[in-house]
This record gives sequence, structure tokens and C-alpha cells, in this order.
Amino acid sequence: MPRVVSPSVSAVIRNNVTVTGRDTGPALVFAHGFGCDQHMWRLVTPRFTDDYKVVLFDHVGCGRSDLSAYRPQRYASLQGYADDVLEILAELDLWDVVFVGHSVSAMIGVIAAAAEPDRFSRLVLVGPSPRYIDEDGYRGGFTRADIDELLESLDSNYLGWSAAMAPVIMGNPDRPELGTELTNSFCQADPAIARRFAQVTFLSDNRADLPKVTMPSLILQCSDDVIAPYEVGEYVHRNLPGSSLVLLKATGHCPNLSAPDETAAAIDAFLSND
Amino acid sequence: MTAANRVTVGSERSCEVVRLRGDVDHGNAELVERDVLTATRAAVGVVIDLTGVTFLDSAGLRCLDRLVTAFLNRQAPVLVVAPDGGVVRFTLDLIGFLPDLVVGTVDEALTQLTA
Amino acid sequence: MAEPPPPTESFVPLLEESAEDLYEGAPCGYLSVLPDGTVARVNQTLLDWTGYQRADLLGRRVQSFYTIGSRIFHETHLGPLLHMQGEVRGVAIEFRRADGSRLDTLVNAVLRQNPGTGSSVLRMTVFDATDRRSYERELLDERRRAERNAARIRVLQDMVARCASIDRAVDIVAPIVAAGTAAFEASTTVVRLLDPEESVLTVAGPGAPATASILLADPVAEAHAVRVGDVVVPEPTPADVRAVTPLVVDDRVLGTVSFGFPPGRRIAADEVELMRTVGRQAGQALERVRLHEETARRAWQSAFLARLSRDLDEAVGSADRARRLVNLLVPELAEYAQVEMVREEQTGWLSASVPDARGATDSADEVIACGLRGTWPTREEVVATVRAAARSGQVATVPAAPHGRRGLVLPLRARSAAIGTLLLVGEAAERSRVDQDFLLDLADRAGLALDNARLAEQDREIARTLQRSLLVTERPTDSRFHVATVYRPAVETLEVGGDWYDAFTTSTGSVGVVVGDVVGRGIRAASAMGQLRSAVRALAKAQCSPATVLKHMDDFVATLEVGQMTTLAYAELALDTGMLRYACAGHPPPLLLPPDAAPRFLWEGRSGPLGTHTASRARREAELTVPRGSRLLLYTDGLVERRGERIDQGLDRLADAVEVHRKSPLAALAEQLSDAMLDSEGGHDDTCLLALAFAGAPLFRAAVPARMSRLRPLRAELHEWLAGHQVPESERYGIVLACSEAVANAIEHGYQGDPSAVVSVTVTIDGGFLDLRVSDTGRWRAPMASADRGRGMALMGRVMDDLVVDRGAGTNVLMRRELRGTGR
Repeated sequence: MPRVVSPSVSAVIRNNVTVTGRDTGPALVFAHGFGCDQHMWRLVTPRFTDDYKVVLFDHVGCGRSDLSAYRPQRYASLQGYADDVLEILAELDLWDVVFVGHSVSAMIGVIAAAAEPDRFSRLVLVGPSPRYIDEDGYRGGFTRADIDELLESLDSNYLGWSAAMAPVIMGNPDRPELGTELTNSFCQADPAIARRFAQVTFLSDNRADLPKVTMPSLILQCSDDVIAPYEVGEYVHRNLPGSSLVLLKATGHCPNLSAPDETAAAIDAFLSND
Repeated sequence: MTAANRVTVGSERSCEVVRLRGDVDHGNAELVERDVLTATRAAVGVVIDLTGVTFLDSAGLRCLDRLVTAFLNRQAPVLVVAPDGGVVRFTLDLIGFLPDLVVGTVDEALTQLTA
Repeated sequence: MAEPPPPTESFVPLLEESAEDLYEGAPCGYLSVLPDGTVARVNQTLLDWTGYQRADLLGRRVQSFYTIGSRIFHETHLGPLLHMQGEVRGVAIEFRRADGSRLDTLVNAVLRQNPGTGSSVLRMTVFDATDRRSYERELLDERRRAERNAARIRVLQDMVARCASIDRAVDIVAPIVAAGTAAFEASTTVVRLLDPEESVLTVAGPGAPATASILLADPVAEAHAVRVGDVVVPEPTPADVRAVTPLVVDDRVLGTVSFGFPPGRRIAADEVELMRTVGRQAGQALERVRLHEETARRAWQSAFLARLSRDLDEAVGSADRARRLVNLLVPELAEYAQVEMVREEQTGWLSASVPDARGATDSADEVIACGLRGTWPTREEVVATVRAAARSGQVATVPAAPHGRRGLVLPLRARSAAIGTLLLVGEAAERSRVDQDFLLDLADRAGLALDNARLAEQDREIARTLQRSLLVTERPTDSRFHVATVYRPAVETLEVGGDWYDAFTTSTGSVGVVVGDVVGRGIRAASAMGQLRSAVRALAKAQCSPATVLKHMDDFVATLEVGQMTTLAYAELALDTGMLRYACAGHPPPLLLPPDAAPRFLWEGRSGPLGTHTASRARREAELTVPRGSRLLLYTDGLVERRGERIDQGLDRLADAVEVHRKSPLAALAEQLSDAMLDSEGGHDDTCLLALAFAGAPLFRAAVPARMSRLRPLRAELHEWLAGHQVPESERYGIVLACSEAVANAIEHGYQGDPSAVVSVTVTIDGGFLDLRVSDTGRWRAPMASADRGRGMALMGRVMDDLVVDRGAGTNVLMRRELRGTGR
């Protein structure tokens, strides 16, 4: 379904899109997951810049995206984020891209690819989970109470972050006494938006979207990932037609950071495997 | 009214009965006189019945006068029938015409003539 | 600022500390973990705080000692940050103690690369932040509450402000939906309004789905919210997260607002409180708007009913009122309206409709069926429904109105009876202001107005029929007089008056004429008039003199108690002599118009109106002889009375008008006088005029060709004329005979049979005498047979009283006879 790009809103600006690499190469779009921004790909992308046009972006509310573009209703479900992806692709006139989505962005990629299959040639899903909360016959790894704890945990880090963010938001980052406090300068996010994003992420159920994907896909499953356990990766593999599953040695939820070489190699192998 | 209708003559008890009808006036009195005289034959007596006459003026009177005279000349006794209260009787009485010859009905006239 | 002095040796013994002790007993927790989180070292302080044994922690992932929230946070935030910037500071982490309780901490972490092995270790310092965190939580809660309150107040203020400016109940929807979005980020907000009579919740607002009505008995949250009068949050399902707040005012529920949310959305207690407030505020606004609407509606309704009554009163007659009624109702109350009235006397129907359905047919059934351009889907049922409603006097719904419109049959009632129906089809332009009670009220008023008109029509019709039957009776025919009459009802009222006229012959060869005026109008006056009229007639025919007639009428009026104060003029004309006797009982004077003189009023013979004591003791009459050709006018006061004018001025006007029109034939004169006297006024009273003409001396004239054969036709003509002039049979024959003789003489002796000559015959009757003249222009020849001639003259002489033969240029035979039969 073609989308109309509103001329007054540039998705490239809104989503802080950065394009590097080989301009004539096939496009490789990296989408960050919940909790960080496009920087989390910085250890992975160098491997691809020689051959690919590498596209990075921040979800609205994260990193250096346009915070004013945040509309609670639009981003009340992953569909709004998927729409953003499609708008970026449309604005850059990209087709047959390889979409690499981490964590929640894996599912955002699934939704976008199901909507406009022509835009996508392959999907790489890093630590995907179509549903985080357990249900009868399905294990997502969390209970509803767990998610409430997460939200509370986010709130706990809210005050500290606000203090850190204050000079940035206030527009006077030159004040040295404040600048020195900018300790957690990466993965900035508007706390209120981050909270909503967490809700959307962890309360979503996108299992029904998996079978709609038609292009080849790679699932990168970490060992010992508390966010997306192995059963979940299995589930995605089973329900995603034409998918392959690679179990990484890397542990935790962010192989792109903890094991960038292994991650990049797996992606490269997948892309080379024509 | 034609002459035939105006004048009819019949015989009863050996008498000639002449019946006149309609108006007898200046316009037709002479014709009536002639018709009556040609139609009657010799008889024991003549009855001139004016019961059917609706108008009688002085010409009519003259006509009667002449008929009576003519029949008397033929030796036939004559009586004139004019009902009491009728228009003919009115005219006759007005003049006092022939009071001895006028009777009320034909029957009476025939009786007198054949007595 | 001066440098602090360096610590001196003397302090050292007081601070006997080893590095080991500094690590283990530090006032903060220390953790060394491998990059995947495996705990390599932990100090006693942290063990003490968490209650774990060292062995519990070593070799296990540190995340597993976090609460799950912190675990996710660690994976999604802390880990990436450490990878990217090598250290983090002041991150809030919650440990799960050995006893399951929570330890709030702030964590600083730094990633140390071992230069030798290339491996790295994460050093974490853990500070107990229990107090700080509880303070933070309070701060956070406060802040959140403050933010939420501010937002809520804004939302509520906005909603209340918007609700305050609406003046239709349905407009309440948009502000509530806006509040739902702004305050709760609801994905859907549906407002339903409660119809208390039907116990149905119906979706309100533009684009509302028609199917979404909810019965109060339905097992849904909306119905439940109405029953309990409070916010209801049903158990969420994956497909449906919802909260329903009732629109409440003074414990009455006016409707509901349903807020729909995305799956997984939790609804907090303070949100429920806010929903409750939204429901109350919107409920109050709705109540206010409804009161406003109700007030406006009632004002509009009573204004409409007042206008209806006024407009219907202005129309005269039920048909006009019915037409006006439907014109008033369309389009304000319906697209199509139709009145059907049962008409008992005709066993038929009166029908009026707008738009006018009358096409080729006038049948009421067809009109119903043709309503709205002939498109009833079920004509017979519609007609049957209307008929049934007319009989039962009940409201009925039309089975299927054209084009999906709704149709309603309202009974038209009056005086406890159903007199017809009012059919309304289609939506009213003033839809929000029309309800069934109002329509019933309207139908009752209309029914009464129509019935009043119908009754008035009946009364009027009866009175008029009565009047007509009385006024138009046998008119005496006699060549000696003519009568012409004009009756003009008053313009300003449709009630018949008590004026009357009458003309009749009396047995004495006279004609009696009367014009009277009974006080009052309507059916009583008309019936009184009938009785008085008959009484006058009877008395006159009994040959009472005018004064006697009035005396008896006084008795009549006193006995029967009708017609008191009636005025009348009565006149009796002897047709042979012209003797006129008359009497006026409080009535305007008759006007006499002699043939050769100015008109004059007959002021004699006057006395008061009927039934007045003084008048009845002195009834007077007068008499005079009027010449032939005279005309006599009797009239009621309506003819001569004019506002702002004295009666004598009116009489003068009448006399002038009579003078102007004196040459007109009698009937024309009567009409012309009425026109002339009433033109500028239009007549505020009934007007009655009777004109009597006393004919001139009757004249027979004939020109007879001088032929004996023409005598017979002449005699027949004269005979007939004499009969027409009341010459008795017994005298007619003699007169005809005399005439015939004279004409015969003229033909015979004057013209001597000249067939082209003419004999003229003139006969007149006047004052009891008949004059007969026979003239010729011939030269007289002495009669040849003098006996015949003598007999003709004798006959003439005997029949007539006088006979004169005048010879000059021609011969005139003049004869006269006093008519015996017609005399007294």
C-alpha cells in the first residue's frame, strides 16, 4: 500500500536519519530497539559501509529525533513506528532494502514489510519477540506484573535523567557544572515518551503479523537473553515463513553491542547467501 | 273547419236533423245556409241543432232566419235547438230571436214536430 | 580558598585500616562482574544489605539479583550505555534481597579493560538509596499528580467551557470526545443518551452508528453504569479495554460515555475519578442544555399553538380551516399533512392536504392514497389505518410511509367525539421541537376549531335553508301587479338575519305586501321570522285590515314569545280601485312612486314595533288611492342605514335613487336601488327590499286585416285576454260578440271588402269598466240590408252599457261596459 508522504513533515528530519556507506550499494537499514538509539549499531555498521548504503535512524522520542513530532495516538501501537519506517523509505526512495531490526524494531520491521513487501528484500531480526507477556500456550518470558515493574524502574531513572537532560532541553549545554553531569549522554530519550514506548513495546502482541512476511528473514537469537528467550526466537522462526535462525554465542539482549563482530558476521553471511 | 264537418244532416223519426258546429259568423254564414239547403230533403219536419255551435253573430242570426223561412216555404215545420245557458241561446235571447221555434234539445224538437 | 592541612601521623593510629577492610567494610557496595554480568567479586557491605551469602552471588549473573524491571532496564539501557561510553553514573537499580524484599540503590559502574588479557571487568559501586528513592518516588508521584491535575483541570475547563456554549443536546458529544482524547488518550469515545421512556441508550453525535442502541437490560458495561450511576470498568479483554462513566446530574443518569483503549491499557484509580468528574460536568451541561431546549421548545410550541388557533379562527368554514391547517403544518411539522373530516350529513369526507394531492380525483380515499406524489407503498392499508383512527380516535402509525418517512395519524376530536384525522408524514423541519404530546394537543385544538366551524356551518345552513324556504314561496301571478324582491345578506357576518318579505293575494281581489325585521340573527331569528311571516299571511287572507293585522300580531307575539320588537310594514292594494291601505309597526315608511310625480314616503299609519305595550293599544293604519302605474317600495332599515348618517339622510338618498332609476323595469329597479344604497358600505346588516308595481290599465290592442276570416282569430285572442284580466266567463262572450260585430261592420261597411284595409281594436279595463273601441278609416256606406245591420248594432247595444258611433274620417265605435263580476 503506497503511503503519501506529507510534504510538510520530512521523515528524514523527524527520525534523524543518517545515511553512510556506499551510495550506490543496496540499502541496509538498521533500526534500534527499546532503550537506546541508532548509536547501538556503531560497532556493527563499519563492516557494511564498503558495500552497502547504510541507513540509520532514531525512533520518534529517542536519540535526536524530533520530539515535537511525537503524537500519543500515532505511536499508541507499533503500527505508527512501522509507518515511520515506510515514510523514511519512501522519502529516500528506497526499495528492496535489507531491514535489520533489533528488539522491538524487529517486529516493527515485520509490520512494515508485510504492509509494503516491495520495499524489503530481506529482514534481519535481532532478539525479536512478537509478544513479551506469557499467555496460555505461549511463553513470552514475562508476566503483566513484570512489565509494571519495568515501568516503575523506568520511573526510578526518570528523575536522574531529567536532571541530566535539563540543560539540553533548556538549550544551554555550555554551562560546565551541568555539562559535567551529562554522564549518560548516549541513548537519550524523553522520559515520558520512553515510558510510553515501553508500554507499547512490552504490551504488544504481533504474533499474527509474522505469517504475512514473504521475503527471506534471519533471526539472530542470543544465548541467555532474558528479554527474548530462546523459546521466543524458536516461535518466531516457526511462524515466520522463509526464516532461518542463528543462535549467537553472545549473551544478553544486545549482541550488536556485546558481540558486534559475531553479529555483523552473521548478518553478512545471511546477505551473502544468495 | 270544412263544410262537411260544419254541417251534417240526418233523418230521425221522419224528420231531417241538421247539425251545425263551430262558429257561424260573418265569415261563413252564407256557406252554411247553402250547405244546409242543399243537403236537406223533404221531410215531416226539420230540426236545426245548434248545440255544437260555439259562436253566433248577427250574420249567423240572419242565416238562421233565412233557413227557417226556406224550410217553412217547403212546408216543413222547423225547430231550432239551442241549449239553455249556451252561447247561441245567449245571442238568441239577446235579440229575442224566434222564441217560439227554439227548444233546448233535439229530442224535444223531434217530439214537438212529430206530435 | 586555603588548602586543607595534610593529615598528620598522629591520626593514623585512630584509623587502623587495611585495604581489605576498606573494600569489605566500605559504606557502599562493591561488585565486580564480567561483561555478561557474572559476579566475580562482592563486598561484605552489599552482602549485608542484601542478605545473601557470598557463595550465593559468585559465579551468577548480577541481573538475576535484580527485580525484573531492573533486569530489563539493565539489558536495554545499562548494558548498551556501558558498551558505548564505558561507564554510567547514578543509575537506579533495585536488588531483590534474599528475603524477597527490595533494595533501592543507585549504581555507578565503570568498565575496566585488562590491558594484559584484553578481557574486561565491570566495577560497580552500589549506594543504598532507600530514603532517597522513597523521597524520589514521592516527588515523582507529586509531580505526576501535579501534571495530571493540571492537565485534567485544563481538559475539564476546556470541556466545561465548550459545553457551556452549546445549545443543542447533541452538541455535547464533541467536547466529551475531545476530553476523552485529551485526558485519557482514549482511542474511542462514544456518548450515548438515555431515553428514559424507552430505557434505551442511543449513540449520539454526528455519524453515530444506527445499530449501537443498548437496552438497559443488556449485560454490558454501559447499562451497568446507568444502573449503578457510577463509573464501570469491565474486566479487560484483549479486544476490549473500556471504561464507562454515566452522565449524571442530581443522581439522575442522562446517558453514558464509553472510553475505549488499546489492549493492555490499565485504568488508574485517579483516571476513574476524572471520568466520574467528566460524567458529572457533562451531565450538568446536558441538563442545562435540555432545560434550555425544553424551554425553547415549549415557548415555540405554545407560540405555534397560539398562531394555529388564531389562524384557524380567521378562516370561516371547516373546509377553509382544514386547508389552512395543513398549510400551517407543512413544512414546519411535517413534509406532508392531510386532514380528513367525517361529514355525517353527507356520509362523506372532507379532505385537504399539502402538498396538494388532489389530482384527477376528489375521493378522499384516493387523496390519502395519492399523498406524497402517489407513492404510498401500501395504499389500502394506509387508507384503512386512517379510517380506523377516525373511528377510534386513537393515534396510529402509518404502515409504511413513502420513501421511508414516518407517518402518524392523529385523531381530531371535539366534544368527546372523533370527527376526523390528521395525517402527518415525514420529518418535521422543527424536529427537535415536536413530540407526540404536542401533536396531540395540536390535534385537539385543530379538532375543536374544525368542529366549531362545522357546527356553525350547520347552523348557518339550516338557517339559510329555512330562510330560503320562507322567502321563495309561491309568488302571486296577476297581470294587475308585479312584485320584485332583493335580499342581500350582511357582508360582515354569515349568520342569517330575521328580515323577510312576502307578497300574496287576498281573497278580496287585493294584493298584500309585507316587509318585516325580526330582532336578532341566526337560527332563532330565522325561525321566528317564519312564524311571524305565516301569521301575517293568515291574518291578511282573513281580510283583516292592516291595523287589525298588527293588533293580532301583537297578541301572537305576546302569546308565543317570539319576535318581540319585530318591525314590519304591511300594505294592501285593491287591484281594481287602486285603494292602498297600509300600516307601519316601527318600520321605515313605505315609499310611493306615482307614475307622473316625485316619490314620496308614506308617513301615515305608524305605530310601534310588535309586542310593545303602548303600540299595541293604538295600532293605526292609513289609506289612499294610488294611480295605476304607481310603484310601492317596502324595505328594511339595512337599506337606508349607514354609519355616521342620520336616518333621514338615508331616506333622502333612497328617494333620490328611486328618482334616478324610475324608468327601470321593476326587477331591475329593485336591484339598482340595492346596489346604489349599499355600494359604499357593503352592508353591515341584512337588507330586504320589496317593490310592488300597480299595473297601468290593461290594454288590448289589435290591428285586424279587413277580412271576415280574421274575425275568428281576433275573437280567440280577445277572449284569452279578457280571461287574463279576470273578466268573468259569463261576461266574456258578450264582449267578444260586441267586438266581433263592430269589426264585421267596419269590414263590411267601412271598407266594403277591401282586403288590404285594417281595422284597429282597443280594449281597456280600468276601475271596473271595460272600454272597447273599434276604428276604421274607410268611408261609411249605408248598409244595404238594414235588418241585418240593425241586428248587429242591437247585439252591441244589448251587450254593452254604452255605445257611441263616431263618424269622421273613418268610423269609431266606442263601447263601455261596467264589469259586474270583478266588482265588489
